[in-house]
Amino acid sequence: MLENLGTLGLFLAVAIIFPLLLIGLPLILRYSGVIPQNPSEAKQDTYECGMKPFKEAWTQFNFHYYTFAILFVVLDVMSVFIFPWAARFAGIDKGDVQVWERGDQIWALVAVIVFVVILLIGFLYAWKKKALEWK
Amino acid sequence: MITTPQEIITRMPASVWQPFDDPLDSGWAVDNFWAHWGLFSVGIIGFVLLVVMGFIWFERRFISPMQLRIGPNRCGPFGLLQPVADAVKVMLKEDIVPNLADKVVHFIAPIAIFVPVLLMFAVIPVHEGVGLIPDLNVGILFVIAVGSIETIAVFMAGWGSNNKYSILGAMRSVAMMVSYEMPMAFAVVAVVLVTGTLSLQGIVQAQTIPFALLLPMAFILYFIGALAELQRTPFDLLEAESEIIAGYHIEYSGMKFAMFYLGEYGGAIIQSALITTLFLAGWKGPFLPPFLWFMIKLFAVFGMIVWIRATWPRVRIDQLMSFAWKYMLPLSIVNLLIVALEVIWFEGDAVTWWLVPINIVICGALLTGWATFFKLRGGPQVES
Repeated sequence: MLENLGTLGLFLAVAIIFPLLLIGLPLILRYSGVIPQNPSEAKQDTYECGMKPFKEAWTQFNFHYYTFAILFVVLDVMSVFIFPWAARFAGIDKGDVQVWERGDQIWALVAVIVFVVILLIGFLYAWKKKALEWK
Repeated sequence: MITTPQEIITRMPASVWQPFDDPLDSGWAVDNFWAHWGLFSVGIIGFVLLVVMGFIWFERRFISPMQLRIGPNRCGPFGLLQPVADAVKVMLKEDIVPNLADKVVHFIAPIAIFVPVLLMFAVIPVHEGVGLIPDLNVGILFVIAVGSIETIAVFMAGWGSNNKYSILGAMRSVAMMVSYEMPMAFAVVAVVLVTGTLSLQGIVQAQTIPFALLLPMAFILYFIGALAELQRTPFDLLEAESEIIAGYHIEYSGMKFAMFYLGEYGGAIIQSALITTLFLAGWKGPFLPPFLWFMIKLFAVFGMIVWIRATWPRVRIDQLMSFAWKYMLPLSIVNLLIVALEVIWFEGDAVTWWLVPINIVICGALLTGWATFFKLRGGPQVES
């Protein structure tokens, strides 16, 4: 397991270096004169269909994105908790953990239903308050 | 007594089952760690680049008859060299960075969009016991976690460009990817419930029945979610050419633009590969070598995605968001509950042909039933 993650870490280095090389290749070609490089005021301007840009784009934004982000965080954490439960639920013997019998399964299902319902009450409240409407 | 088609196939003599010598079967276990690592690192990168080119060619050739035109046919036989010509062209373009842009973020974004694609390929199983990491025991969790990084890269591109169109596109895409990630994750949990393992290799091994038949609901939800995650039609409004020009990559040119193109098609390969692995029995299949089966299924799934692109129009953003939150998310949680009950009913061995018709009926009833409810209340109101 740990050596697998080590291999992944090494591969992460390759995965970062390879796109860097791809972007670096035109740089080499540029300094050897193959690729043109004629910057001008109009060319380096922000593209707005021919108009002169009149403000920066970094402004305030629609508040709705924020409520969706909060709902997403809640449900994403819920899915993180549900994954280990799902991996053990079927009770397939893998030799390293105690296998769940039918009684354990029913007990585990009830526990997760309680957990999900508590979160879903919040979700339904958001729905009722029209936080899911996009205006 | 022979009960399942799979059993009939396994009872055939081995020469019928596996008539070709499989080059990956033996002699590929490299003992030296560095040789193994180097071989598969280069292999993964080469595979991604080749299949991206194949996908670009396949999409353009496949969609053109549907739109009553011919498609690329000048470069090489059947236009096969068109992606190569495109790659050379894009590499020789001038690199333009806007004066107002955040230079560092603008530079990092095209790299950040391609790294997760390569990383996810390290754990996709194409054959039993072959791969950079043949069997990562948390495979599917790793893929979901790394896949979320792409959202950040898209937002970096939009924010770093300092362009109103690109920031609109980036905001829309983050909202959409975030919304569709939940139903996708819960569809994957349904698969994990049945197989009892997080390893992708284990999920493929467990599929004596393709899960597209056994868990049709999870399959449909995951497929729609994958379309949204790929930002393809009908969910391509964040790079809608007619509204916001090109969305988040409007200020990129040359090789940096090509990186976004690569990332987009790399994402298409990954999602096709995941649908293949999770729902279409991965590399398993009769008569042909496993790797060939994997490629056939990969291109079949991508063909389906292209077909959808040729068929459907774009949705509005309010329809998009309410479809994710009010239709797919409740259905995915209900689906989870049903699968858990089935696992208890069959005492942990839910991969049986008995469940296939039952699940298809439940899936149809739920989809149509919830669609009725969705139309009546809470859904997007159609103005007349």
